[in-house]
Amino acid sequence: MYQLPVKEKIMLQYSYNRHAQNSYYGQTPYMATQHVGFTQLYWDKQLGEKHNLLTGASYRYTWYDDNTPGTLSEDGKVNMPAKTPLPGAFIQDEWSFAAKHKLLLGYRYDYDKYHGSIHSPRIAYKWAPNVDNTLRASFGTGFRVVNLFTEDHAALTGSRQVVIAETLKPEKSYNANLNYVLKIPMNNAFINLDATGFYSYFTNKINGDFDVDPDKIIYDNLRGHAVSQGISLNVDAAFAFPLKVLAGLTYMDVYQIDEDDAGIPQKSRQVYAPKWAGTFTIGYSFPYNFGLDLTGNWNGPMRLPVQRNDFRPDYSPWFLLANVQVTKKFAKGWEIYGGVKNLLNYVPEYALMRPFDPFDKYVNDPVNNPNGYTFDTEYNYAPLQGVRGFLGIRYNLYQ
Amino acid sequence: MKTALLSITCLICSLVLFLPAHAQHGPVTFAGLKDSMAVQPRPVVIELYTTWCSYCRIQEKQIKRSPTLQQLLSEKYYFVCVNAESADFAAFNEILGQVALQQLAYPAWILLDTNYRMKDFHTGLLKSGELEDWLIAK
Repeated sequence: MYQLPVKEKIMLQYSYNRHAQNSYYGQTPYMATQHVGFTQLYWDKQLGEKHNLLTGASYRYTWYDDNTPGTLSEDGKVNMPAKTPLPGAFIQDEWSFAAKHKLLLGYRYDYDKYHGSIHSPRIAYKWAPNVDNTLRASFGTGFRVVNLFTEDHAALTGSRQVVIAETLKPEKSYNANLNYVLKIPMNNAFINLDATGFYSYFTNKINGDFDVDPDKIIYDNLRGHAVSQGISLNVDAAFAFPLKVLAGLTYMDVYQIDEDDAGIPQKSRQVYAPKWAGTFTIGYSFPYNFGLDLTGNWNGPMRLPVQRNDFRPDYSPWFLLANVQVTKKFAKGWEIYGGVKNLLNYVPEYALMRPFDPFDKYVNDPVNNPNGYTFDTEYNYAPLQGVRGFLGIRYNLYQ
Repeated sequence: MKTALLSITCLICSLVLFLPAHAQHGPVTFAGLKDSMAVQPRPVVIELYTTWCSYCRIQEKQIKRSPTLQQLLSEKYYFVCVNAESADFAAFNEILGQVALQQLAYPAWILLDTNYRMKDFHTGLLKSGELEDWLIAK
């Protein structure tokens, strides 16, 4: 980041990023190189007492090449790396139209050579009647170009074949958020409560279809729409004695309505997305520089991909992963810490289907495999590591 | 002469009485402090806080509930609350001069004698009893 040496507040941001991938999935190599250059110039200007203007332009250039047919010419003979320039411009005004109210209006324009003009407006509102209460509401649009191989490694590392049924169009969405923050100061404690409701409506979303065929993950565009909505509650409590408590709870409903082969819209819940999820951290500082931390996260049932006549349930169970850590601080920034991860030793019950036959050689055996199960690694919802201990030393610079 | 002295005394009284009541992080400038120090020098206790510090809010509540603390802060000292992220803090550094404030944590308590020299420094929440002892002892 660089601030231009002029009277106005003009900032220049720039970055360069290079990624080289050298991977083998079984015997299949995946070699890729990507260069991303990014630069952005913006002007932050206070206009009068009530308006704060932000405006700028950005340019991102992506050069990507890999050894898949995705970067070959039409006849498959010449390697054609993908070059994507993405210029954009934006303008935003933060308007304090009344004493405790603020309205934000913003608009962003990007031009992509394949997808044309992309318009992203947004609006946000904040009401803060006093320092302990704040209400925020916002609405905007989303646009994202999907690059399956770099983003969805599960597609390459799993046991299923990846099928891309058609050219994948970008994901587009409309999003709305409502948030309320309440602070409660007390004589011996201070509690910070945060409640957020979110709703996203996708006109196109790229989700892998795990249900149609147990040997495949099929990617195509959505014929219908997808919705992701939920509520999240968080608590942050500090006390006059050295206890700190953080806890969060989220309810999420993620589904899509997509036309099946017969053209009939079908509602399906997103795989690997639990409806209920929670997290907590409890920390206490003892005398003589000892500290104890207890952390955990728990999940409700999530839909999992299962095979035909599968003996495994198609929803995962409720589970809690808890960890504990003890830290002792010494002089000059040295610390020793140790603890136990996955204290409750929770391990998923079914991990791999037919791990003894990974290449499906003995699948057609009516005696030993009457249900026709195939090798499958996709039934996962929690780490496979049970209870384990750890010990370490930490040195803090500048302390 | 008498009216001048009377008005100055009224000014100090109002400043001094106003300060603790508004000590719940009201705006206090150094012009006000310098003027009062010129008339009646007292040691100064400065509390550094930030808007996001939850322990500062607990500290504020505890001071409100303790009449002995309020009395100490209003009679024995000049009590100044400074938002560490505001312009006031920059003006502050000029008074403290060469004093190095290492490893700041909020709320931070700074005790200055009548010559603006730092006598003591404490970071973190001080419970009412501890704060009283600290103020009485200095």
